[in-house]
Amino acid sequence: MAIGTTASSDIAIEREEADGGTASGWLTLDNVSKRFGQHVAVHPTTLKVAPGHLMSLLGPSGCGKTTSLRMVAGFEAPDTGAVLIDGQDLSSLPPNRRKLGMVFQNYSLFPHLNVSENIAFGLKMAKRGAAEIGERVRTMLDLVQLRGYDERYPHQISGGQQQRVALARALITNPRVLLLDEPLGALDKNLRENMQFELRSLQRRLSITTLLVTHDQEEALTMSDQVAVMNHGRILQLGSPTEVYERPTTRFVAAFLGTSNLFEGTAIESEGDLCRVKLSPSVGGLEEVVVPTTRRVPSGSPIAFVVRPEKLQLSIDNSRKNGFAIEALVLDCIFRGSYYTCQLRVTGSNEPMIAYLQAQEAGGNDMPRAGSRTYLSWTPSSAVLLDEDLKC
Amino acid sequence: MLSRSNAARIGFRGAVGFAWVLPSTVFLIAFFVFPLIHNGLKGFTESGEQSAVTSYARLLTEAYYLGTIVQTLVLSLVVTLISLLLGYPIAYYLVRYADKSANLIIFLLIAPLLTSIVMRTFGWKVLFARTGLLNMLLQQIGLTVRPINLMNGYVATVIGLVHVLIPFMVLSISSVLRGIDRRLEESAQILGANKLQTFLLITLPLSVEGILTGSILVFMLTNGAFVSILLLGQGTIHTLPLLIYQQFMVTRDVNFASAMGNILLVFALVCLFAQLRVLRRRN
Repeated sequence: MAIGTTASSDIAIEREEADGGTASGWLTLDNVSKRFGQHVAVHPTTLKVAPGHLMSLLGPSGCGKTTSLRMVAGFEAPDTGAVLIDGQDLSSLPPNRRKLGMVFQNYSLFPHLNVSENIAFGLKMAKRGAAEIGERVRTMLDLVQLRGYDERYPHQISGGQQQRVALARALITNPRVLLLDEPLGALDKNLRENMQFELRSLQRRLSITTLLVTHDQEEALTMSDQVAVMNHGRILQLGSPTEVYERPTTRFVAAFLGTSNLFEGTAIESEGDLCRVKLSPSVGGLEEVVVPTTRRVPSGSPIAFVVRPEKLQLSIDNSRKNGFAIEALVLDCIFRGSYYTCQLRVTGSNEPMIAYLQAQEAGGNDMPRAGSRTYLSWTPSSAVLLDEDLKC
Repeated sequence: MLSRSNAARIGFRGAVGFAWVLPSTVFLIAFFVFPLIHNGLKGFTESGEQSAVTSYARLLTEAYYLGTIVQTLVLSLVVTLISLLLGYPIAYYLVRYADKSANLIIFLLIAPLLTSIVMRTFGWKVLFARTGLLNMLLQQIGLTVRPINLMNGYVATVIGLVHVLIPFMVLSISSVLRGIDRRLEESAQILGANKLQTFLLITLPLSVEGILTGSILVFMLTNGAFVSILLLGQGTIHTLPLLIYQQFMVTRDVNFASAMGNILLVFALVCLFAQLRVLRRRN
């Protein structure tokens, strides 16, 4: 499933020529907002994507990510603010004059045109000569490994192939910015993972500024340089995939990206980069914990922190040092191949805790039995303080 | 034993099932299939005083009858084209722009179908008359001084037919338009197509099936139209249905009338075949 290297370097050269050799492709959403009647789809939002970077807008449906993308495309006009590429305001340009590439969730291939006619569409609109169109379509077909499929119609090729055609069609015009609207949403799991790699390496090689919209956290984490997590029309957190995953700042981000165990309490005192917290209610017999913090937390302020399931350890005894342990009752464990997912009941928490355990031996003999008593422990550094609660 | 009783049961069931469709089958054979065959053969028997030439040969060789056939087809073509040119924008508006008014538009479209054909036709006659509403209006706004002869037949007939047949066109096209994924048009726009190019290169080709279905329907229905042409045509239009009526009721040449009927039937079959091809291409 590797991309043809020779073909893609041709494209890269072409791009440089098209751009006049200068690096470009700054995409800026400057204070854009959009409302539909009473419903605010996007609150005033500012976002900058560096040239050649892939930014994902991640969030549940209705969070405003698609509306944001459609404002960049020009299908929706922002109520306030503007979309800029390399400082040029796009507001007055209709979609067909913005020089963008876009891949839709269902690929939107033209059903009455064959593969090469689909790919050539953008160049035909740009009134390029037939010879140039033919050559560039061939290059594109090689790039997406669809040589020999040029005469097929969209309904005659598989979903993955349709996806590649859609990508080739979007890239052939050397767009300034590539927009991807849930581009892998319609593929099955294995193909989706393959295409994640393929799409990412192609995007890197062409070094094209890309805005990806997805509700799939895994897709956002694996493919992006930057992730903007959105909910209710606002960007809640912006950062690299590891930052966003390792240091969520809000409950929503912590819950939406992976699974997390939430603890609540009040700050007792903060010393340096640690904060002592009184758990309220106390959880599993534990009254006080220490969590890392990047700033001083006033005494008495409400605190919430999370611990990722993979950072929790299960042990029979309570002798772990340099950490905190709570009593827990194993509700259930599921074998997941390389690890187990366990649900545990602890006193003081209505929600069951989730822990991932590495499977030590084949056959699942080391799987904790449902109903057994155990201790859940973690090191102070693996707790993540949520900023959200500090502000209010 | 078991399989035999099963077979018997299935056989019994089959017999019961057949009993249910028996009445309608007998009815159709007696009143549809048999008359059709009978009619088809009648055209080959002697017709009127010209004993040597069969009805079909006469229909297809004599200038007057050929002219009638051509006029029938031309009228159908004209009505189909006008219905298409008027109907496509209506269908487009209905699907793309009308939200709350959609039901009202559909009601207005099919209203003529709910009205008695005689009422509808006389309604047009009243409007088109020398001292009718339309002429009065034209004179009032000063477009003409003297009343225009709107009842010259052909124009009135075409208007009357388009009026009643346009819903078939609009509904056929709108159902196909409604099924077109808007993201296809957006894809074309992102790729640099302006509104007109998007329509001509994407929307129109994708709605061809609706256009064909609607056109075939309108064409077939105009081929068989009778009352509108009789009442609005003022005797200036001679189509096959009118001629059939004449032959049957006035000349009483039943053989010749049935031959003409079969010519119409052949047109209808050609249209149905075309429609079948369109539907098959869709699948």
